[in-house]
Amino acid sequence: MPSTQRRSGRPWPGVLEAIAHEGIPNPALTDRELHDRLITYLTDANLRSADTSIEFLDDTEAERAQRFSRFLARRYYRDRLHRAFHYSTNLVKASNVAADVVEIPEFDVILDGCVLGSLATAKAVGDLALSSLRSERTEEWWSEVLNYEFAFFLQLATLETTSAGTVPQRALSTVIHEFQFQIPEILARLRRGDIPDTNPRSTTTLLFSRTPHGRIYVVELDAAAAAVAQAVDGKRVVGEIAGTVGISLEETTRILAELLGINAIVRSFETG
Amino acid sequence: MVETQSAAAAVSTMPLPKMPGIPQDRLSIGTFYNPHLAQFTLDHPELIDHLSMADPPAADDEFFPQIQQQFPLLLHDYLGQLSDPLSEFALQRARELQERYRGPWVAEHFQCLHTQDRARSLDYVFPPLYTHEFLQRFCENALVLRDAVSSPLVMENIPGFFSVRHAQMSEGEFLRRFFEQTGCGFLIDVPHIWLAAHYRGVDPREYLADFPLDRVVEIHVAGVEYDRDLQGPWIAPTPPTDDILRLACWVAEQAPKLRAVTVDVFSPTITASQLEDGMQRTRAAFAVATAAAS
Repeated sequence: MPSTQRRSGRPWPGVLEAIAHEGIPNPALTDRELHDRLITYLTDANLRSADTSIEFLDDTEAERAQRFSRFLARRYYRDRLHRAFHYSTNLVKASNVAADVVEIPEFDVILDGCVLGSLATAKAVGDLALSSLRSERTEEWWSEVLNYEFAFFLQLATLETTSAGTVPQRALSTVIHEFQFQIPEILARLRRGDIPDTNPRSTTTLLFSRTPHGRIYVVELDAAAAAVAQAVDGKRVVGEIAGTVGISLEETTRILAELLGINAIVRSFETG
Repeated sequence: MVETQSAAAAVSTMPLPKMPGIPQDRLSIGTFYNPHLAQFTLDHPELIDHLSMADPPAADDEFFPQIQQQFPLLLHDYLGQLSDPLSEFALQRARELQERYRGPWVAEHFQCLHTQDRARSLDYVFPPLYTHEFLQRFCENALVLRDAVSSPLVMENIPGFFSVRHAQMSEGEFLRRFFEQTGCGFLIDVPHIWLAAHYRGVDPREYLADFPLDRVVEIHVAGVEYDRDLQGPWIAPTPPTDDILRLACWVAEQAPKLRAVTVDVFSPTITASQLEDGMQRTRAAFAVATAAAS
């Protein structure tokens, strides 16, 4: 592997070929680079499932590494589910809280293809939690509380980063969701231990994002901000976004800067 | 802007509020701060001498001001992995946390858990390769962190579950060389040692033969439990077992610089009765050890 590729700052999609057993460790790699390969190997079930020897693990140790990887993933998603689904945890049977899905057979199927911290695995685990919880209550707002927790979970469980291009682009885990109820009000009531029996319908658009330092934002969007955020597609430049939404370039730039500040979108961008 | 400068000058000349310190005449026996057990913690100063801080307190933690008045706090957050240079953001965060807690030392771990580009992370403690290159990296970056926080740095051992063929020295030798080169203190996590020895099939005391126990400043004790993925024991937020406590007391007898023993339980699942049990058993074990040594 050319050194420029090793230093590209991106994960290696073809890492398995690079670390296929050659009898001796690759002398071109530094120890730190070798360790990065070990971490990549441990976080990616697809690499581990390929029938290839690894230069730094003999067969016995590779089998132990496989067990350790599954331990890491089960622990990681249990922790994220516990933290994200805390409203619903207080509203369902103790035997069916979201974090418990890591113990059911369906979760083991996800583990077989798990890439720790990827958006795809986070979605699969979150969907599993939703399917387990949807029928637990019948109130109309219940489904929306779960949608809120699912979006929050995606932020907590996604470490995968977004490549910045030359035009505004939504960060991988960013979620924009229009709720059919005043969800902030419902959550405030749940925090007080007050379970709403009915709630008037009233739409609220929330945006969920995560910074590289792990800070999570949930912000309510007004109509203009929601339209700008929705118009960001990784293809339109700022002027085109403004034209699509029908607001001024200045206002569009201001909204995009705010979205950039909470890492809902990535990339410094040019107007035009 | 002028007012800001005046305020800064005023702060620099004001005496810092008095903070509790860890005992000077005996071993300090403490645990981690678990916010959901704050009231229990405040109610039991006879069990808990100090608190290690794994996370900063939440903004709405109504108990924390009283916690900070009542207990010495040890910074034991994730400050960054010392296999890589810490960013200015990470150093500033460490500095601010230590200024807030003002503990007698700051702790970090011998770990390397994310890739250099941060695209992949294990999100869990994981040891580095025990090589000369990693030793140099840890030494350099530890000194930068120590200087940034202007406090002594202690480093905690991390167990491996499997062996990597690339290692150039044992864990014990790696740690000994690190402490010789940096002068840092050793935070020995006894369950980590117990597990590392268990998975190598050797007695923990034998495994500890080349560890620099004379550098130990703090000991961690905790329980271990069976894990179905690992098909064997692993770290658990449970009270320390008798086996772990016996090993910890054996370490303490060889650690003249030892100042503190911390029951390493930090989890929303830990209950007050479990914490009470762990603290009582640990205090009893070290009282026995002290009596035996004197």
